[in-house]
Amino acid sequence: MKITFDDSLRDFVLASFGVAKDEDGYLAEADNPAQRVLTRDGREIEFHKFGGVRKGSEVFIRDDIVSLIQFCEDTRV
Amino acid sequence: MGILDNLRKIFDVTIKDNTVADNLREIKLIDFSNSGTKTTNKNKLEINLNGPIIVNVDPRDKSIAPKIQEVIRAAVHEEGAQILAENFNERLEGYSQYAAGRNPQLEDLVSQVKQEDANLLRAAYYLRTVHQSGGNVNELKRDIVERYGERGKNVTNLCSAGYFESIIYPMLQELRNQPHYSATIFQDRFDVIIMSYPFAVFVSQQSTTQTVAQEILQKIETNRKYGVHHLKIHAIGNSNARIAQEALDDGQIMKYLTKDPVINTVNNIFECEIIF
Repeated sequence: MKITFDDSLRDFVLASFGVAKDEDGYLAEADNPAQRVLTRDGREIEFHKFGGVRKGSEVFIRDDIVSLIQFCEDTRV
Repeated sequence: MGILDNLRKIFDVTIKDNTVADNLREIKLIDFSNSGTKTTNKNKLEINLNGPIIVNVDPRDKSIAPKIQEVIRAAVHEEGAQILAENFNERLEGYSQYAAGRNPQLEDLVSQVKQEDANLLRAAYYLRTVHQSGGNVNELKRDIVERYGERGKNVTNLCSAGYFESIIYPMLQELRNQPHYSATIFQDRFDVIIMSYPFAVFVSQQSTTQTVAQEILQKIETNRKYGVHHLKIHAIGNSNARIAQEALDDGQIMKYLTKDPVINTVNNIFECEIIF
């Protein structure tokens, strides 16, 4: 099952997971802005590069070609 | 309770057709404030029998927005749903379609390189395919270089210029024929090629005539030591091609050449082979 969202709903979707944009434009925990959200391979995610979330427990996806390829490989049936 | 049932409850909608739930693959969240849809569609669920279900969301509506957010969270945690930005999803579909036709040579190389190079190779091959189809690869290249630095730039250039087919893969096949082959042996040779690629010079936007001439000269001198007497210079675009040609006019380079450079320019791609 896939849920897609407009770019303009980024804030709304992130808030669903208790995440917001920090003052430097990176994703961070809403109630602990000092704690940035990382991808599974340990990279910080800029707000404009937020690609989505998948289960595991919550895997935040960065929107770049390498992350996209990894996502495809991870979810390949 | 599944995501569809949760949404029905929020929007107080009855879905009579049971096949909707069975066929549900995608839900689209549309920003009501941006969509230009009629007011009557605000905070509404649009059911399509043969397509995605559309949820028109008004993030400012405090009475309903939190309920939708709870449904999104539950969908990921309890049903394993993926929630993806529309642009990312479009690119993912494009890549997935390309990757469905597995390239056996690429997969063979991926099985032998270090784990951290696997996605770099996949990205380089994909970039080449996009470029050959006339697509814009600037962002792809930027992503690769941002992640892998110089190594990423070199792999991308070598792949686009066909060196994986002409040199690197044949080298792998040759090494495999030797006794006591292991992937580590290939990885060591691969590293040397990627970081110094003695058989090629690539002209980029950051190149100057001086830096290109210097690199050509250095590779001529290195290659001669090892009995290699040819080198190719690659450039894309008129200004990069001009830099390449100006570099080749350097007197220190010309003194080594035993023949006139062989220049081939097709569709804005400049390639020159020199023999020394």
